[in-house]
Amino acid sequence: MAALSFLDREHTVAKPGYSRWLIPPAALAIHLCIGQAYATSVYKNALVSHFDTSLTAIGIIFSIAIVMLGVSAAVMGTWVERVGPRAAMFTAACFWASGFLIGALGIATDQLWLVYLGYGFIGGIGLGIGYISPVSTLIKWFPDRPGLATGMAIMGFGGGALVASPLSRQLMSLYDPNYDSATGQASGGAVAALFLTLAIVYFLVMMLGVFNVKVPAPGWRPEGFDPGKLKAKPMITRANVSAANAIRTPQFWLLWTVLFCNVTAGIGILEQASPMIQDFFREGGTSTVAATAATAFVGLLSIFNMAGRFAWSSTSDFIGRKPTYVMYLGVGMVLYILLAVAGNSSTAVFVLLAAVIISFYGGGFATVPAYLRDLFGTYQVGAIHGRLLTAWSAAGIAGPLIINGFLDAQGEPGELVAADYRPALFTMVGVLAVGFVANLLIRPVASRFHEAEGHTDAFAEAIGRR
Amino acid sequence: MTEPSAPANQTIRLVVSWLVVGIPLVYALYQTIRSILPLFGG
Repeated sequence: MAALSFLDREHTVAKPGYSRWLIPPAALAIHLCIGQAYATSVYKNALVSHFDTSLTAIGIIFSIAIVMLGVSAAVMGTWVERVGPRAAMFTAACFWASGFLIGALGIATDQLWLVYLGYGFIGGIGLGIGYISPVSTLIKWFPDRPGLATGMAIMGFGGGALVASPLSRQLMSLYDPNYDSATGQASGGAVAALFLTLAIVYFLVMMLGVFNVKVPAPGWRPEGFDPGKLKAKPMITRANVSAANAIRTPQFWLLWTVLFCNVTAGIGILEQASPMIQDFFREGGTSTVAATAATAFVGLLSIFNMAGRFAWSSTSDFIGRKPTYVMYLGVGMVLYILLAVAGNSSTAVFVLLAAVIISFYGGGFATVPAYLRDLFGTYQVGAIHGRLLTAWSAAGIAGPLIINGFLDAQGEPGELVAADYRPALFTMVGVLAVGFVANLLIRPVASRFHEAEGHTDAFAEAIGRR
Repeated sequence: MTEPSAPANQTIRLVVSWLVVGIPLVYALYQTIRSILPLFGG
């Protein structure tokens, strides 16, 4: 279609003088919108009442969306690389907004399956395509600081939930005068109107990303950046590996294990954060931490989750990707042990330990695209990233299973104490240890997996000429 | 090829683009920090 030709990759090549600092807000525009996926708890209770069903039935909406995120990122990654970031972001915006619209229709007509199909299935595809769409472009615009660039974008995913939670509460109180912010109870009509509003707002914001994103022209490099003067580093390749070849390398699966372990451990705490802080400070059956303070603790973790994505990923540009993961996993093990044995000594200690752990969890997500660039080059890094995100989907199942499994064996919710968490926390130390070893085993990719000359980009060619 | 100087209207585009993503983030941080004050007895 001629009207959509502006989406073509050849129409997105930046003219000389185009500022690369327009690319991070373009990426943020996408990630801030799709990050809403982690704010579904705001209207969960309202949907339970509206559909007169269980929490589990409503939780399935989120589960379908996250599974579809992993599946679509893995399956569509090569397509995203081929069509370029603008077409991919536009597609993501259409899927994401359509998901909300169909979800709104489902709520308005009392058809839960339509919410599964809309928000879960269709919206989930938008999540996966949207998540990987700016990654490879950012890396190409910021060859000097790939960690900083991807950190900014993936910070947006964490920020998306922070934005969507208060925004959704305010909108629901606008649409339903009887909205109860303490219990999250709102009429179905108010949630349907919320979905409709979010569809429009998110589509418009994502269009900002669509119109701003461009790929650098061949041969472009940042002012003052001379790849020829870079010191050669063994863990940063000058070659390129295709997505199809990448999954045949041990490096891919070692990094998959690293991400899986880091996310599994972090999700274990995130999933249980609110009851966990109350249980750690329970004396004689009553917790000294009020329910409101426990909710506030979850908000604090969200800030550290977001900040860790930017701060640690940016730091990895200086200290290297492998040492950064040594820190996430190695220091993470120490922090989990401290949390298990001394977390109940004071709320300040507990909050500090959990906050740093969650910052490592966020950092793990944000640093991994740059790690992939270092190992596999820029050629199909977005598609490789998409395949790696299946580790996230797997960890989303394993993390809660581990923590809930151990806690179910220890006693009833509301009666647990700090000691009941120790088996689960020590198991997470073991999980982190597996990731730690996997990271240590990562070596440069063997040359037999490298693409021939020509399957390269400007950055790699410049490096290769040295 | 390196970047020549940016066109003048690009500055406006940069400011608007960063504001569109920056304002929601600042709003979110403000709301979240307000909600976590009870944790510190605020």
